[in-house]
Amino acid sequence: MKYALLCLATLATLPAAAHAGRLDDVLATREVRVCIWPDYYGISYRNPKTRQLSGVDIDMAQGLGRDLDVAVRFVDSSFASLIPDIEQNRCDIAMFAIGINPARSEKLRFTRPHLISDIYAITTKSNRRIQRWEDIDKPGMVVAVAKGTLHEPVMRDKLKQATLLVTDTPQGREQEVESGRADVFMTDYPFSRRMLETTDWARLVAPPATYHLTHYAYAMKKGDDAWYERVSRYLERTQQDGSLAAAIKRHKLDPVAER
Amino acid sequence: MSQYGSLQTRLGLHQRATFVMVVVLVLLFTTLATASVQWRLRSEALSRQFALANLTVRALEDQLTQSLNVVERTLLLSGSTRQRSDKLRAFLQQAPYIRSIALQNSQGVVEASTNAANLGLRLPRQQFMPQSTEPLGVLRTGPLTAGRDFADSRLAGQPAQSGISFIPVALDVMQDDQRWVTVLAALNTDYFLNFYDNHINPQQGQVALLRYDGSLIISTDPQALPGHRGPSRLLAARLAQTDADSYRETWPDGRRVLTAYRASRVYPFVLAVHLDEASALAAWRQEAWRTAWVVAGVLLLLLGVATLYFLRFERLARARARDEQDLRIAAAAFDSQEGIFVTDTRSMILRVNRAFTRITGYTQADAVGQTPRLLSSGRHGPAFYAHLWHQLLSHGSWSGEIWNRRKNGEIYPEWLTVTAVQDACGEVTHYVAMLTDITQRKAAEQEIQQLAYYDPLTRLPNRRLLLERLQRALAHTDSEGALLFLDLDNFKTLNDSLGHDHGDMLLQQVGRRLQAAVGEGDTVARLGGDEFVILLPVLGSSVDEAAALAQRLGESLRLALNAHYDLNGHDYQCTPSIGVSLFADGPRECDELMKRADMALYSAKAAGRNTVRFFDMQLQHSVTERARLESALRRVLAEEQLSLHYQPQVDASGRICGAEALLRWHDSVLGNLSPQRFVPLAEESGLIVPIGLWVLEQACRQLARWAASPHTAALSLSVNVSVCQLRQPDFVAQLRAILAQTGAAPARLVLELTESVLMDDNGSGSSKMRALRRLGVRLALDDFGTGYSSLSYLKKLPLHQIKLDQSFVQGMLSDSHDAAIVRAVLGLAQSLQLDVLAEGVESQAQYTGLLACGCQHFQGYLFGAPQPLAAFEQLLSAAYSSGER
Repeated sequence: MKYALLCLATLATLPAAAHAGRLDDVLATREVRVCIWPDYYGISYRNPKTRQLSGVDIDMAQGLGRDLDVAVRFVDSSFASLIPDIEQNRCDIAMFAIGINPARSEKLRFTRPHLISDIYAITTKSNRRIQRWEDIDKPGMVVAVAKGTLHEPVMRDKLKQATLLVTDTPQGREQEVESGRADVFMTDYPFSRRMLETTDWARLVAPPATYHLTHYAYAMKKGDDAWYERVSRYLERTQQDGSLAAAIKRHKLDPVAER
Repeated sequence: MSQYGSLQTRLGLHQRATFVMVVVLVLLFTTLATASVQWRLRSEALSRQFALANLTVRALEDQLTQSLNVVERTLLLSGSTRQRSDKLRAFLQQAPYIRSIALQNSQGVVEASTNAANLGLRLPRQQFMPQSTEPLGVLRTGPLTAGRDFADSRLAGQPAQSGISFIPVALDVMQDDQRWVTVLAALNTDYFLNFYDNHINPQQGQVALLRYDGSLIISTDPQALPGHRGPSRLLAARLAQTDADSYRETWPDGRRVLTAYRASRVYPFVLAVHLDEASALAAWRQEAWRTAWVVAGVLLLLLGVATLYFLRFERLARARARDEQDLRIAAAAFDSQEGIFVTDTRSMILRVNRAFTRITGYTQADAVGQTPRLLSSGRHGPAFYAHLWHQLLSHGSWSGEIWNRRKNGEIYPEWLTVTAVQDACGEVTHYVAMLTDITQRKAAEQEIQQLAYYDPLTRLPNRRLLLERLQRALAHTDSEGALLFLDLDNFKTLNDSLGHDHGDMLLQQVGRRLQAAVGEGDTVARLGGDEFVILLPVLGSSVDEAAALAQRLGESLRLALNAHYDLNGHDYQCTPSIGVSLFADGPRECDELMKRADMALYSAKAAGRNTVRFFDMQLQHSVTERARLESALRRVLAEEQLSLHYQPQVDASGRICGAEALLRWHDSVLGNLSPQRFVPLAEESGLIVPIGLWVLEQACRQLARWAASPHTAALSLSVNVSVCQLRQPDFVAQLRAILAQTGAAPARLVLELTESVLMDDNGSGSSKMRALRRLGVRLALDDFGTGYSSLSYLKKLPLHQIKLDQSFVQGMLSDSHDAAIVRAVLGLAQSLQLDVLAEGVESQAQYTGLLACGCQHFQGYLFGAPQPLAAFEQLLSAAYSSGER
């Protein structure tokens, strides 16, 4: 109910902003608001111990701010709340490696992708039932995905025998696997790395061949060409001068860099 | 040497045994020490592993107890109030290892659960322990149950899913309304296994979670069978005694395992850590091997070095033993019978041995510091020593005989060997001289030589020495010689009649007489018995001369042996037979010559004994002939068989101015004999002296006669004077006496001398000539141009005339050289104011030619041959009368 009210309030401000583009607003307020998912390790990760943000897209957002000569304000978001956050103008741009899929493309405008990742499964080290990728889609197996992630529709579509368990939060899918209620959860390359590096129970199960590639890019509202052009120009420059590649490499994501 | 060898061997064996023993001891000790250290390290490693196991099991038990404590609290909270299923779900957040929670009512029916599938299940209570039929406020646990949750497990009567399991736990909770409910939970086994896996990896060992009754719940070993007893057979018994312990045991599969177990302080669980001893000790084993290799390597290296060192030590010991022996040998050798002294390179004597002192008389104290000149006898010149040093420096040693002087002054011969001692670089450091007194050896040698080369009876050379000397004589091919074989006629008769001692005596006397009769270079040898041989190696240069001398000597020997002998009071006379062979008779070989002489002796015996016979018959003949001639010549003066012939000499005008008196011999037996035939014989035999005097006397008488007649008073008479004559010391006095006796004018007498007179002796010839000049006689040089024709004589001698040899005169018309000589001689004579008489003028042309050259006097068949006095005087008268006319 509160959520609905908030949406309405946001919608009410839209017409006022509609007359001017995001670029003008950003320049006028001298602030760019960037949506991030602070659990996205290597992309836009907030270290719980220091509250410091780090990741490729944090670096890129800071670069954008410098490029526009404005301050950067990070706005916490998630894949579940991404579309409303953009549409309701809670941020000018979402920069947390958003997988491009038809449902999102319908609502959002994506910049040129800078990362590409397949789908990976995380299980526990002690799970003796799952040794290989092929062990996943078997009767009795429970596969967890977080609601709103690109994995949800993909897995719903792909799984034939295993049971799909959709959790409300990304943490939920981890708990399901850790407690043994689910056997694996699906994620992408950057998040799988976070699991392997920060827990002592996670085990990666990688597809033997390409399973489902997803391009990652930044998302913004549709129909704002000036803003889009401005951001694209920035990205093009970073691609050309190598700073994008350097940022990707710095955060050890070069295996999934878009070539 | 073999003794030395065996000693060496024994010594070497003993040392080797010691060395091997030391090596074995070192090996043994090192091995033991290493093994002991390794054993200690192994024990330490095991202790550490036990400590690790204890520590780990304590940590795991702690985690288990705390986890179960959280479970217990969570279940207590969930059961304390009546809960709906959806509310229960919040409790799952408390502990990620709780898979589901279910509430069972007092009837045993699940009435609420986080997993909807569990609702309505009836779960058996007796499965849980500790078992109790009454509600119990402690956490109880069931066996490991296959399946994801109660709903799909055997507990619910369902076929269980394979590969997934859970641990069911239960807690009876009294609710507010005083009713008991049972809260059940399914615990995620993977949660615990993950945790255990993080502590003990499969290589290290395994971790097992058991119920307190000893049945296995989970194990990190995938092969373990839950529900059964764990792999450790000791565990149950140990657990009955104590809640925590550690021990070693061998499992049924043969593995040795270190086990540490610990029961939960609160809950009916036991944790056991089993460490595989093999992998627990792997690091130690690896280290032990490495250490063993290192130690072995170092030992081997040390052993190698020690062995090398020992072998070197052995070699040195051997070398030392050898050196010591060498020194002993050298010392023994130094004290040998040979005298030894050692000098430095400056010839300073450093050491002498006892034999040196014995031989030389000089003690060590006398000799050291001196040079070998101390011993010098003075018998060897500097050349000898120079040769010695040259040999020593160039060849490193010298040996030879040397005469040295003893301390008492005695000079003795010694055999000396000097050897240079060189150091490793080849530099001479010392000289070692070894000397042997060879006085006795020399004496013995001489004795042997005497025996070998001399006849003991007569002390004359024997056959061997004779042959050696003969061989030497024959080698000199430029001189003639002869070998005479001589034996005594009828010697055997003497031996038979007077005995051998008288025979020996005779032989000794014969030897002495023979020795006395021959010259110094000649050899008288006795071959044996009465056979003697006389070797005459030098008998002039011509065969005739040699033959004559041999004949004469043979004759004189024969005469010498003919004389009477006194044989121990017996007067004895004997005759020898002598055979002569000249070297020239045949091949100049010893055997041949001996054979020839022997044959000659045989022929002498055949010829009637007491005679000399030559091997060559022709020679024999000529020798006989000469002997006859000589005996005839001896008679010639007495029997007045000699006469003088006169050959006219003319001057430039052709007038006879004198004559040359020429000797003629007419023997009643031999007939007319030319001077060429008998004069050499007369000279040889010395008869020339009386004959010459006779000729001079006859010539002087003739001059005196001619002086009485006016037409012959001016005539001169030339007389040839032989060298032998002139050599007579009283020749001048004799001539003076003849001149005085005959009253002949000395100026008319011309003495013709040959060049040989002038060359014969040193100056006495010329002084005699000057004495003759003082007598007033004139001197002419005969045959000028054929001999040396030394011009200095012409200048030096008091000559009046030169007689130009007829060979030039006869050749002057046909040979330009002869003509040149004639002209030169004439020119020379003119300038020296000497008169020249040309001999052998036979033609008018020669006469004319000589006249043209300025010759003043002539002689030759053109003017008259040598002729008896009557014929010559007739010629004179004819010339005189024609001259007067």
